[in-house]
Amino acid sequence: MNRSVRRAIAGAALAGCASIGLAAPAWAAGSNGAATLSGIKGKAASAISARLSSLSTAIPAVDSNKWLTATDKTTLLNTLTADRSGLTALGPKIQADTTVAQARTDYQSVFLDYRVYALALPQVRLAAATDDITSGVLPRLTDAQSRLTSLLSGPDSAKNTAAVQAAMSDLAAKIQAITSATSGLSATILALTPAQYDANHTVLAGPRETIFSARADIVAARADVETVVGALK
Amino acid sequence: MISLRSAAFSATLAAAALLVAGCGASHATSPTSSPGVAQSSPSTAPSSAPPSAPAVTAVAAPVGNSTDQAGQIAAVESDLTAATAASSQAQTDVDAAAAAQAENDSP
Repeated sequence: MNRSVRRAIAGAALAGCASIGLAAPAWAAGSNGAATLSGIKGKAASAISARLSSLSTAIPAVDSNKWLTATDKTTLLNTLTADRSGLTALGPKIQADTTVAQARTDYQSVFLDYRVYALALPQVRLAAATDDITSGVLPRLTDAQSRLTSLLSGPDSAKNTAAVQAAMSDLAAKIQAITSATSGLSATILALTPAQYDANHTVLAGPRETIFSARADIVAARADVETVVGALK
Repeated sequence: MISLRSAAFSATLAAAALLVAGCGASHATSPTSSPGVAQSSPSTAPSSAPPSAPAVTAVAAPVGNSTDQAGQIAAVESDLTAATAASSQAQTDVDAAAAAQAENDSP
């Protein structure tokens, strides 16, 4: 979902709150309980500054990340730079707002339209974690499996005991499980939008659990490799 | 004492020169040998050289011999090290994602 659509949704949500007489949230309240324009502007400036700082750190880190695939890197950089541009433009707009209602709507959009901390930066890290596994772990485990298979079917066939066979079988199963779990996962993570997060704050829980599960399989696969290597030495 | 030490130092220099000459000769005749491995005169090898270092040969080892097996296992262990490093990085990334989400992102 693009930013303008998300902004429209945020504005509609805020208008809905106003129309049914909901109390102003704490951020908008002055010392007497009423929202003040200067108070909103001050909080907005602080919130935007913090996010721009975080984005300025994240963008070069993504660019230099050696595990991210080229496709994921491009997607992430597009998202992060768009967020940076949007927030950079939003700052002066809020400072130029002349009514509390305008400022309130724009302030809300700092959060609802971007979700820098709740979604964008976690997306970067979870996609990187996925690519760590698909680009860094899986090729190595597969190579180890291939080498061990060659040794066990050739010069070390006498050492291919039942325990070794069980470890090799488990290694194959774990590699398959890791492959299946992480296939398409980074694309799924990167496709999530702030609007989806706003509708469901647990949208990243599933991908995170999948990565945890894959890591558990990696630990087991490494143990399998160590078992076989130990038997061959 | 000084003269004794000078004599010992001279002898060491001479031995070192012999070793360098030996290495040069082996490189000239055996381009596939590893640098620093004395082949023509094992008795002059430096004491730091591992006594069980495998013999270097210009002849290709047949597939399946002990050297090849050792190489394969070393490659597997290298795979394991690299996989472990990448897996650790994945955990670091997951932790960082959680840290980002711990920041307040609501008005």
